[in-house]
Amino acid sequence: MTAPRDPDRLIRAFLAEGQTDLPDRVYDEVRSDIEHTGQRTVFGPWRNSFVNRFVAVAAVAAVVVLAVVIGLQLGAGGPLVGGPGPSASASAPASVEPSAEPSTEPSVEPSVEPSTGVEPPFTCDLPITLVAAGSDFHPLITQDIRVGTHDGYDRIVFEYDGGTPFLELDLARPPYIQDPSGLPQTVAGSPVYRITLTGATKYDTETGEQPYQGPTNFEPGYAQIVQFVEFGDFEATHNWYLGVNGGDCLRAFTLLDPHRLVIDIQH
Amino acid sequence: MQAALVDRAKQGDKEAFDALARMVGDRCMAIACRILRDTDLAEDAVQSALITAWRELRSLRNSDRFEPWLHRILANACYAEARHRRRWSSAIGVLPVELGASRDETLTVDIRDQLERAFRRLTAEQRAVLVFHFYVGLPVPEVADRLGIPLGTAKSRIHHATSALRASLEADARTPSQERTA
Repeated sequence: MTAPRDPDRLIRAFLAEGQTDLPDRVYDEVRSDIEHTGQRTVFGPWRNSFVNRFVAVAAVAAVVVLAVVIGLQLGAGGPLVGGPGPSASASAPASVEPSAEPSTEPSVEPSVEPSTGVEPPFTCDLPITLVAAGSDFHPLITQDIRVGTHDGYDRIVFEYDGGTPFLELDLARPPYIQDPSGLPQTVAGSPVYRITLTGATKYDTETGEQPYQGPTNFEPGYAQIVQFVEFGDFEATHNWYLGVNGGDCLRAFTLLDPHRLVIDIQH
Repeated sequence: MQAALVDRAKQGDKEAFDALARMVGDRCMAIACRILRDTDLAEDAVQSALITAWRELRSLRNSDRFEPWLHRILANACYAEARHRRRWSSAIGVLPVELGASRDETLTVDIRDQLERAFRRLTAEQRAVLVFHFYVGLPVPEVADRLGIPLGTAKSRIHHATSALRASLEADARTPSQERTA
């Protein structure tokens, strides 16, 4: 045989072969599935100019109303009507310290807020996936990673600038392979989940900066999170493993302003 | 027309989404089949991608971008299928992909086998860039956009993947085997 004539042409010819029809039964299964699958409610996107204007106007109005109410109360010299009202302590999370030891004092980190009531329900049906949003051309740079514990659930938060990556959260079975080394590693806790964030990285290759310099191995001693450890940050795919204490249902969703991807583990 | 269906589906219109799925399903199947080299896995990936698309449709801001958006979901679904079921591991015998009616007579059996084996040794991510570049026909920057990866990563994956395939062809060329027509 002679040398290949045109490798690219042969590759194209090779890829041109194969099935191109999706069988009807797959359409039927999709149709059947969506009959009892709801659509995720999306709040925002806040970058939309109309929404931006709306939010700005609403925020200004809220500040003005709040200032007037406080001014009236102070002017009257009495306590605020209805008690202390909304305050930082009233809405602060129970604990958000990403430390090796369980936090003993409440923290007021604003970004690991407890339930707001708009989260999706917990599910034990895996895998959980969330579609990427907001960045069409570049990987999202991780700005912060936090863990916290709240009444009824432990929470993991990934914060990004400009969107959220594609998430897949699924049960993992050993060996737990580090990416890209391929070396097996151990993860404390059982069961263990794999969290794959596609389109995200800690390293900004354009600026050479790494905004997130915090821990990549959390062992907080919470009710559910035993170990939450990075297993790879390679080619815009950020892999983590989560070992939990017995395991229950989970949920994943996104929050905006700033963009956050949240994973809750039910107690 | 597709954007109009997307808008209706965003409002929860299941008939519109069904029509949309039938409009793009074959294309998705063709892509998934070529990335995964396994018809069953490809069907699972397409089904998973379409259901994810339904669930997340309201997060799609520009209805005109439905298909590129779906392709990114599909690629991720293919990666997930590839991770879950590594049937094409090089340690395991490979099954030939159904060639269908589009068999190219210029490919010999030897070349096809060499490419098949080399292709299955690539990662799903490398196969995806090849499929979007050589089969879908997207230029490399659009491949990067479609897959949500940096341009440099797309270039690197295409370079390594095509080098591997070319190497397999060159190895085949050095083999003194009989050339047989397909």
